[in-house]
Amino acid sequence: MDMENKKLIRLFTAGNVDDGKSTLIGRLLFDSGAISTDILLGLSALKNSRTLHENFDLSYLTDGLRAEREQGITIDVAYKYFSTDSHKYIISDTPGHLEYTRNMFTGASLCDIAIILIDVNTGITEQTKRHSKIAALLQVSKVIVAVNKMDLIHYNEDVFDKISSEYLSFAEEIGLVDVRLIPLSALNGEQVTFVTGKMPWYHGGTLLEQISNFSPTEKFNESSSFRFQVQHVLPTKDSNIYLGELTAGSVAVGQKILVGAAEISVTIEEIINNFNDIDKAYAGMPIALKLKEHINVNRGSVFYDKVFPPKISNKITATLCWMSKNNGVTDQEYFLQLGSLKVIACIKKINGHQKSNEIQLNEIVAVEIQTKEIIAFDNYLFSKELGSFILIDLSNNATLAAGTIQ
Amino acid sequence: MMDFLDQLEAEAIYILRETAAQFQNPVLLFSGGKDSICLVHLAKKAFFPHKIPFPLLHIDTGHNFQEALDYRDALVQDLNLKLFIRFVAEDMSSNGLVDLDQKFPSRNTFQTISLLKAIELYEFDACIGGARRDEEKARAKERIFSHRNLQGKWLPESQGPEVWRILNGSILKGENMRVFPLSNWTEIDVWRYILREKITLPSLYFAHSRPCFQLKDGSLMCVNEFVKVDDKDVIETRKVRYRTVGDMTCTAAIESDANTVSEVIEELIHAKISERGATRIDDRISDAGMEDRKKEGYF
Repeated sequence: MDMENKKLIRLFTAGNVDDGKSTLIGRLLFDSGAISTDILLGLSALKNSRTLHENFDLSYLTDGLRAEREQGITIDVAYKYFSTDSHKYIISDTPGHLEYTRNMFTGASLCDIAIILIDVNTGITEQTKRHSKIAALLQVSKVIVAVNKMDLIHYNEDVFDKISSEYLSFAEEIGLVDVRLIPLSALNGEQVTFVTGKMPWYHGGTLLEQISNFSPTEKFNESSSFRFQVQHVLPTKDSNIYLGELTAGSVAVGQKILVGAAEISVTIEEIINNFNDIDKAYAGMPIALKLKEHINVNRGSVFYDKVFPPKISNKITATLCWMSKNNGVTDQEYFLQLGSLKVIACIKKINGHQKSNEIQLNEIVAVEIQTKEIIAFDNYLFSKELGSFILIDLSNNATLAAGTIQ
Repeated sequence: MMDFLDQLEAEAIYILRETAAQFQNPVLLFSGGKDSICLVHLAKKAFFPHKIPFPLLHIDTGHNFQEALDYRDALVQDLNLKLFIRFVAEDMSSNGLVDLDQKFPSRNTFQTISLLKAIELYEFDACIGGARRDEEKARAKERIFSHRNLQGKWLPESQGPEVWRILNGSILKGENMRVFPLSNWTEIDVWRYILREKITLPSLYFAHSRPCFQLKDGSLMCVNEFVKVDDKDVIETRKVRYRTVGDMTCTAAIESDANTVSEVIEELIHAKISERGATRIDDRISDAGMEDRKKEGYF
C-alpha cells in the first residue's frame, strides 16, 4: 500500500445559489469512485426539484437534511470524503445563501483550497465577491474558480475570458495570491475529472488535476518558532502534566522555554507522545509535557521560545465576521475563546464604519478588541491556531463572531 | 512527517482533550463496535500516563452479540474504567412500551429513551460518540460539538458556527453536548488505524460460519433468538462477517473470507455497497430516518 506520507487536504466549495456546487462535489465523488451502488440507487429513486436532466441528481448526495431537499437549497455545510493516490480529501460543501454565511465560514475556516463557482450565464455576483473575500480573510492557500455551466453557452471561449479577466483584477484588489480559473460543466463532468475535447482552447488541466497538484506547506519547524497551548492539566503528586498540541516549531527535552503572559522561564523535563517518552516533538503532534519547575499553569496558557515570542498584550487588532442576528455592540462584554483560552473581552472600536458602534449579521469589519487580562496570541499569518478566535454570548453561550488577528 | 492517519489521530485527541477540559461530567458511549473501540484507544493515548478520565455508557438493547459483550467487559476490567449500562427493555416496560410485532423487532428507536434517561439520571453534560460523517447524509451535516437542547433534541437548522479548531463547549445546565472525535474518519480510515495500532476486535468482524437466511434485498440475517424465523426462510450456514455491530435484529452480515485486518481492508477497497447500506436494515425505513431519529435525541 502506498499509504506513506499521504496527507489530509481540506477543500471547500462556495459560490452563488444554484451555481451547481453540490452537483460539482457529486461529480468529483462519482468520478473518483467514492459513491457506493446503494447510494446511487437511492439517487435515482429520489428526485427533487433540482433535477434538470434524467441523469442522477448528484446534489442529493450532499443535501442531507429534509429541509434542504424540500427547498432545493443547501442550508448547512456537508462534509464528504475521497482519496487519490497522493492525498485524502475532505470536502465541505458550503451554502450559497447570504443568510447562511456562518455555515459557509464553518466549512471554509480550516481549508487549504477554495473552489469558488461562478455560473457562466450570470457571471461574478455579490456572493462571489463575498466568498472570495472570506477566502482572502482566511488565507486559503489556493483558490480555484470553476466557471460552471459552460455546456449552456456551447463552451464559448470569449465568455470565459471576459469573466476570467474580471475576476483576476478583483482577486488582486482583495489580495488573493494563487488563483486559477477553470471552465467546466459539473453536470456533464467536462473538465472536472476528464476532458473530451469540447474546449480545445483551454490548457489548464482538469479540476481534479488542479486539486491533486496542491501540496500543503510544511509548518514552521525551527525550534525558535515553538508554540504549545495547554488544553488540559493532569495534576500529579510532584509536578503537573500539560496536555496539548505542538502547533508550530519543535521542542526538545532540556530546552528552556517561556510560559504565558507572565513570561516565566522553565525547562522541559519530559515529552510524552504515543505512550512513550520522546526526546523531541514537532509541529502537529499531540503531546504531554512535564516541566522541571513546580509551577501552576492554567488551561489556555501558551509555551514558547524567547527568540520568537508571541504578542503579549490586552489589545488585539482583528478582522471580525459577525455571525449572529444580535448585533455586535462596542463596550459590551463577551467571552473571547482563542484555542483553549477563554477570557472576558470588549470591542473597543470599529474601524472605517459608518454606524460606528454596531456590527450587523454577515458584516466583515476591522476592530480593536480589549481583553480583561493580558494574554499571548499570534498574527493569523503565522498561526491559524493562536491567531484566530471566536466571541461568545455571555448569557446563552452562542458563538457570535469569528476573528483573525493582525 | 505526519501522514493522514497521524493527522486524524491528532484531531481526535485534540477533541477528546477539549471535552475533558470543558465539561464536568463527560461519558463515552460504548457499543462494543469498532468505532467506539477506536475511541477508547484514542482516549487512552490522549490522557496517558493517566487513565481515561471518564466512564463508559452502554445503551443495551438486549439484542446483543455475546462476543461484543465479552469484549466490553474485558476492556472495562483491563482499563479499570467505570461502566454504566442502561437497559432498553427496562425503560420500555416502565414506559408501557412493548416490542414491535415484526419479523425483526428492532429496539433501535427505543434506545433514544434510554440514552436521554441516562443523561438525566447521571447528569452527563457531554456524550462522546463514534459516529462518522461518512456514514449517513444527516450525520454529514453535524458539528463536532453537536448541541442538544433541554429536551435532548438536535436542531439542525439552527446549528451554531464551528470555526477553525475552536470548540465552544459552553452549555446551560440540563443541555447536552454530543461529541464526535471520529467525524472526519471514513470506514476504511478506521480499519487502517486498527491495523496500524494493532487494536484487537470482537471476532464477529472477521469471517466465520453462521446459520443465516437471506432477505429479498440480499441482506444476510443470522438466526438468533430475537428474530422471527418462519417456514419461508431458507437457513444455510454461510461464511460471513459483520461490518457493523448493532442490535442483532437489524444488523445484517456480509459474505466474506476476510480473516485478518489487512484482508478486511482489501475487501473494503473493492466493496460496492456502503457500510450502513450493507448492514443496517432499519435505515431503509425512510429517506430521512436518521435525521428524524437524531432530532429526537438519538446518538
